[in-house]
Amino acid sequence: MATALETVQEYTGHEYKYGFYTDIEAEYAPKGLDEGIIRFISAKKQEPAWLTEWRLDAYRRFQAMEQPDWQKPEVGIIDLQAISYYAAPVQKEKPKSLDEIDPEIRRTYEKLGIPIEEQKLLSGVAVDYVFDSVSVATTFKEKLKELGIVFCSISEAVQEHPELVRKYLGSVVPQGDNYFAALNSAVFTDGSFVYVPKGVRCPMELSTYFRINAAGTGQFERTLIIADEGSYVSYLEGCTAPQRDEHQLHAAVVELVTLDDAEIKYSTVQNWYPGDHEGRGGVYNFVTKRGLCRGKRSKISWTQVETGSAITWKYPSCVLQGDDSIGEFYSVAVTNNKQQADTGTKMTHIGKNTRSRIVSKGISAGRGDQTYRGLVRVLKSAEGARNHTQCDSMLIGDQCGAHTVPYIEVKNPSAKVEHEATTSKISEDQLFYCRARGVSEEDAVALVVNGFCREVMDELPMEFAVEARKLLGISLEGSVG
Amino acid sequence: MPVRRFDPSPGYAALFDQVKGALPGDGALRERSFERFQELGFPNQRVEAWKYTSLKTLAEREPSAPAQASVGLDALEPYLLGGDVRRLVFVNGRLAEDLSSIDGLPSGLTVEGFAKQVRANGALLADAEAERSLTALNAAMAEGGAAIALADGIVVEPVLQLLFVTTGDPSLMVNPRNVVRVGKEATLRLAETHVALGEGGFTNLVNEFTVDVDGTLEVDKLQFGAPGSVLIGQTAMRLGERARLSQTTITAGGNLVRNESLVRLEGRHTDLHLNGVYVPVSGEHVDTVIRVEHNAPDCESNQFYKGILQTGGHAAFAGKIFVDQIAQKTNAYQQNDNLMLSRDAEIDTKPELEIYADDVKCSHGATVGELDETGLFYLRSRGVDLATAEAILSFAFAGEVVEKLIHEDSQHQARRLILERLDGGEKLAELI
Repeated sequence: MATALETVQEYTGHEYKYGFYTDIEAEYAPKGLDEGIIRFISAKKQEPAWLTEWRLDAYRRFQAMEQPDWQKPEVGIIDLQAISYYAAPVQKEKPKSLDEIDPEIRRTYEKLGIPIEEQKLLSGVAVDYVFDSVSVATTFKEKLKELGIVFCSISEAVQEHPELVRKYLGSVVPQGDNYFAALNSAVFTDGSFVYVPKGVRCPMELSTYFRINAAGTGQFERTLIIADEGSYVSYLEGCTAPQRDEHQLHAAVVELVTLDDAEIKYSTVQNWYPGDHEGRGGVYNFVTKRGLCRGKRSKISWTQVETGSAITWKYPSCVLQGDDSIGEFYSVAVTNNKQQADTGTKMTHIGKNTRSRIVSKGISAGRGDQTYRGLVRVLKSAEGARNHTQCDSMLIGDQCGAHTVPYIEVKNPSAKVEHEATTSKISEDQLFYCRARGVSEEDAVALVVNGFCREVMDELPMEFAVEARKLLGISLEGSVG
Repeated sequence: MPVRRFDPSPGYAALFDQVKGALPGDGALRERSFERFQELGFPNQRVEAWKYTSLKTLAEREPSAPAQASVGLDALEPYLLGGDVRRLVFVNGRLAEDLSSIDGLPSGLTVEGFAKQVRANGALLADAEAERSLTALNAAMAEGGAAIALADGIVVEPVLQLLFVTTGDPSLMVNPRNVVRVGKEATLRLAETHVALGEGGFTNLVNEFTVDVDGTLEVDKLQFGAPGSVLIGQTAMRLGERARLSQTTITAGGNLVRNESLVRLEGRHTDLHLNGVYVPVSGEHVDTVIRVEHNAPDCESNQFYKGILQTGGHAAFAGKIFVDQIAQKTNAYQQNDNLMLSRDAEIDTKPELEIYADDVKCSHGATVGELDETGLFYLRSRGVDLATAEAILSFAFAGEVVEKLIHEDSQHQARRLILERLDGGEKLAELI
């Protein structure tokens, strides 16, 4: 009898479903990075002078920095002069309604399984569609407006709510935070902006769908979400890119701010093109995500399912400043073929009785290599802080790697910090049990893996959970062994 | 590129020039090692392995050569082990034959001063190309230490104690090096004791332990520091098939103590146990760095470390388990528990796994917390004052590791040492 792994191996590699390219008339900035390009982007977006200056300030900080090299995956020096920092589908006039969107773009999203058309009929999720460097559509804007919720692209927010943008932009991730965040601050093109006013509970999921289409570009979007006192919002993010032999850089910045008693739930299903079996091509996903629990009793929860990208390198973090605030991080990361991931979180406890919880599930298959890197820092002021970290890795096959690098820094004796981690292989016994009951080998693997990740999957909003489960199965399909 | 080093003060080169003529072994090799050290400098905190420990003041020191000093046996009494024990005593890095006694050792066991060995075999210092600057410094200036070789099949009954004492000039620097080789099916028990009698002193220790097929090595490591003293040591261990090594380290005292263990499990079915307790008080910094490499299948390794942190104490722990792709059926465990008894203490812990084989069981855990309130309440409700109650619980917390020491006197010494350092320990010492 063939072993479980061998049988699963027979299912040959699953191809990346979203690897197609949409041939569309697009407008590019010339390749390269200098002050001129930054002014070009800023002018293109008709930005106020303060923002142009803000970008240039970021660029000056960026110039004094070097690409970091402490991460586990080998990245090599990325030639930032070979990238075009602006690519946008040509739009004659801004569409007044969803019906006026370029049919090519519409078809693209249909192929991706999130038709803009359908959005008009179905309620439940409002979506901001970001295509390369620009936002092409945002649904349900009017309905949200009635509640005072602002949901639009960040370019629009700059025009329409400059006071909010100016107040909060860079307040969580400052321009000079790190190399890629500084680059993003200088050249960011679009992204989503959300403001939920006091006491409002956002009635639907807000969502952004990021699509890299053009070649020779990178995507540098910036997302800013502000939840005012006592408000609640759940936000989803999804991403795909065409299949190419070159690496494409995605260096985004996401900033979240919660005031007193507010809560933000941020979920990501990341499925950028992971490269082929030999590791050719694929997206470099180097993102800075950070939430600031500024108010008392506020809460920020990150949930991420990372299945794509050639290299994922990000640490969605929480700064727990307000007393009694809560930070959560739930993550499933899958690396297959030659994918690499170096991901985790940072929880910084500043306020009293702040609590954080980290659940990280890593699945490494094929020749994938995966690192959980996390930091739990309890400052002197964080009386009664509490953290629990659980980090489990599953290895499928003997060519992959799983690493755990947790940092724990405690300066307050009343803190209780616990970290647990395990690494093991997929259980042959469990697979055998399933097989003995007539479950196919492949389904058995999916079942075991889903069970392994369940704690995290349960945190996903329903609309995403189904998709994420499927994705998990697909990502592992055929590459087991 | 950011700077990743501290330049050693000119005092280091001056000292080397002063003593090099008298160092045993190949002079050219010594020169090369010292050049290597100068080239690398002391690592600063930008180097990941030194993130939590600063060598700035050490680099700025003007070290002096250890003076000849005589120490009476009575001054060492609290650190000696009783019963069936042989010992080598090194005062300021040099073998003190009058304090040592190695009579009646079984044939097959050779115990010599390291200096003598180096004269006979210069290759012992052949790490002029060391990646670790402190090892290069040691290779340049190592003089004292023990060279121990145990032939195949010999089981040594007596415990062998290596006692290192520094005394006198606070600026002195010593570079001891111990080389221990345990043959096939042989068994050796060691106690390595470091004592700073005066204030200050910098000990830059390098140990090499090799345990051959079916061999066993057990080590008690007791570290009695003093204000201003610095002890930085690296112990490289290599284990052959079915070899067994266990080491228990008790660290108490010294401005800066850093224990690095680098273990390579090279044969199948090896069994490794590394245990430790550290109890830093005000102005003290204890750093534990461990790397266990599973380079062969079917091995087991355990790391079990506990820390008690009181006012002003700072500890760092970085333990790493590395599992090579061929090391299937590995069982590797690591636990680091820390008790934080003061607002003015800090613990930085980093339990790390790096795993490339799939059929393995690896786990690690780290905890930081204060004393259990219900436990304290229980004791207080029975009339025990708070300080003593805290001492009782902390002492019990450390007890789990202390009892892994192989020699009874090591256990007594460790208990005494820990009690001395606990607020409220005095009263508890009377009680037990």
